[in-house]
Amino acid sequence: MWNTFKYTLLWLVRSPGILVWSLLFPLVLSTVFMLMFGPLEEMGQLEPLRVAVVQPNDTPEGEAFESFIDAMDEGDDRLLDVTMVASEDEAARLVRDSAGEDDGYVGYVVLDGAQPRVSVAAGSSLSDTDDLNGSVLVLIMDEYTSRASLVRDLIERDPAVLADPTVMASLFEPVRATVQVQVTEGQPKESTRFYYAMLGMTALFGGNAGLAACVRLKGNSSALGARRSIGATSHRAAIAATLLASWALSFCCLAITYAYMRYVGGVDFGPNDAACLAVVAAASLVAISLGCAISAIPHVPEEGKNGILTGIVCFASLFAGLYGQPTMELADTIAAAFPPATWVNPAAQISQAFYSIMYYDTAAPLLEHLAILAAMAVVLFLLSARSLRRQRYASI
Amino acid sequence: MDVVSVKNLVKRYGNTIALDHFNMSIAQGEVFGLLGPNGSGKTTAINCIFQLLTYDKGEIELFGQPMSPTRYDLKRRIGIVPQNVAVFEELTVRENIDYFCGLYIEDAKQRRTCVEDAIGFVGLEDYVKHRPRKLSGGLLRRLNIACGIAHKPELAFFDEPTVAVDPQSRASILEGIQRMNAEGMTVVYTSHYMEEVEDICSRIMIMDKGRTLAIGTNAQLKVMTGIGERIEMDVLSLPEAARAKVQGLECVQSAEYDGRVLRIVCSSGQHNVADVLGVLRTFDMQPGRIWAEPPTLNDVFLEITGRDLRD
Repeated sequence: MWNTFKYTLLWLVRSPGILVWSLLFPLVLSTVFMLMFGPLEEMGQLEPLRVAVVQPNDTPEGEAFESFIDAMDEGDDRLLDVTMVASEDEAARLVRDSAGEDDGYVGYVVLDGAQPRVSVAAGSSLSDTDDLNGSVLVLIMDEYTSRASLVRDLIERDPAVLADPTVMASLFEPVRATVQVQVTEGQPKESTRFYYAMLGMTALFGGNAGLAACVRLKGNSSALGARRSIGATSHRAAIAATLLASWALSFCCLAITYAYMRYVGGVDFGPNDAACLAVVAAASLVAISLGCAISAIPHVPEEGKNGILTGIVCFASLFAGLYGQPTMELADTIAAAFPPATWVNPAAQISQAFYSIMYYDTAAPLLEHLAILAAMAVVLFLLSARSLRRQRYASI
Repeated sequence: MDVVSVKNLVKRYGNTIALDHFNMSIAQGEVFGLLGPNGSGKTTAINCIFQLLTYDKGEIELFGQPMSPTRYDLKRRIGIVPQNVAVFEELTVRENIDYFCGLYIEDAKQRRTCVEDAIGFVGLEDYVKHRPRKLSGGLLRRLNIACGIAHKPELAFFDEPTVAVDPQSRASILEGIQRMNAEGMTVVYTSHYMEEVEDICSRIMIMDKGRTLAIGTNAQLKVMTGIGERIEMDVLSLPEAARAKVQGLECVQSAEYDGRVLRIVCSSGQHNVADVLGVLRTFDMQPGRIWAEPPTLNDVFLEITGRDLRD
């Protein structure tokens, strides 16, 4: 059995066709997705605004403003990238000289009395809502102005209240019109579903390994199969070793794709690596069982069976939402209107299993998807069992 | 005890009868030749013996025991070199031999020795790291053989092992088979090359349409068909009367003259050339070149199976 396992794995690994579909294709597709979605994701992220700030005077207002500016320029999520300069002329020159550069200065800020005055880079207009960075800079300074004004009012009217720590804390709480609430385990991203759907598709392409291995195992499928069938190894052991080797190859290829997407591409799969690998294992099992079931179709040559597998994978991927926003909406509509269509779609189940790890804080949805995938594998193996177990044929 | 015993084997493909109450028994140590035209049922019979094909009726015993798909103990004692080269394209020569040997021998250490022996036996020492696609037709055939016999079976089936190989490789393969037989292996050999079968087989069966037509040693088959020697004589201007007289001889089956050469097929017997020359002398004719050869297995085969073209 070990001999069959070892050599099945070896010839599968050396089969260019198998390796292309099980490993190279997923890696290339992942890279294409990364190149496609990377810039789109970066567009939604706010980079620290590069700002020139004229060094304030050593007055209480100046010190307070400087502390505020320092606070804005600290930490991983800092809002400002501040360059302190000695004069307004120098600040204006910096802004002017960097105009047109990708990382040029958004503008400069001068503390005028107790209030900051903002000048944005030429070509920008505060009324221009497209100038997001300029607007953000103005918003930050307005926030400072209103807080400073509030503190000054309190000092004038009721200084004692400032001794209350809760009042002080509330003074420095950011004023928000909306509150961001995290209802899912991970941070949702538009592109994530595409990656998951892609993993669903590439997992199923691993079925090529199962198909090829089964074709070369059965006595009526190839001369090689016939020769192997009449060997003195137990047929059951040969089947088990062959399927195990196909699964191992499929699992490794998919695990490499997963690791590439997660650790090289930075795709978020949630915090649980083990759960993701469990999905990879289940997905590989379904893929191999699918290939195995297709190999059992009689009177179709191997090339035809490969075509059938490709057709099924592409069709299933359509309803997993792989081919863009419209297909994703179509998949969601079908899933809502007729859930069984999703239950029997392995690509959708694999995609949703990853989705459930990422977004749910309970294991129940993941376990449900894993159970459906396992059931699918059992059904597909049962469909091919009769053909696989057969040792004698009416004709070959 | 017969190593192979097949009794009344019937195999149908729909309405076509591939094996029609086919019988065969092979004794230990024989090199048994199985001859027949294309579609005569040779490979079907072998596949039935190996339990790869179902059959409608009959009994198959190997080493005195009934054969079944799960008789791995019996399968361990037999080997097959199939008609088509059936190896893994992705594995090297050594890996292929090791894999197929592993179907019969689990112990890796024991297998290693067998694999090396098989490599040496077929002369593939210089190609152990090559993949099949880099091998020539002859080397491929030798790999095919090594995969079939590496586990040192007691009984081996060679199904047309020399198809599409050069004379050197063919000689090497035949010499190898004879050597294995000398070491105790019983061999079942099928081929369309009659001279090969004539050279190496101790007993020959001729089958057609799923039936046994004749069985015996090479000499016995020739006697059975009653074919004698073939005679060719260069004769200038042979009168029709002379040809008819030759044709009328008791030992002559046919006599044809094409204006230059007189071709005679004789019945088995001796002094045929002398009898023919005697007739020609009565017509004052002296042939130029005279050429006579004993009957070949090919003559026997054509006599038994006919000259009609097959699929």
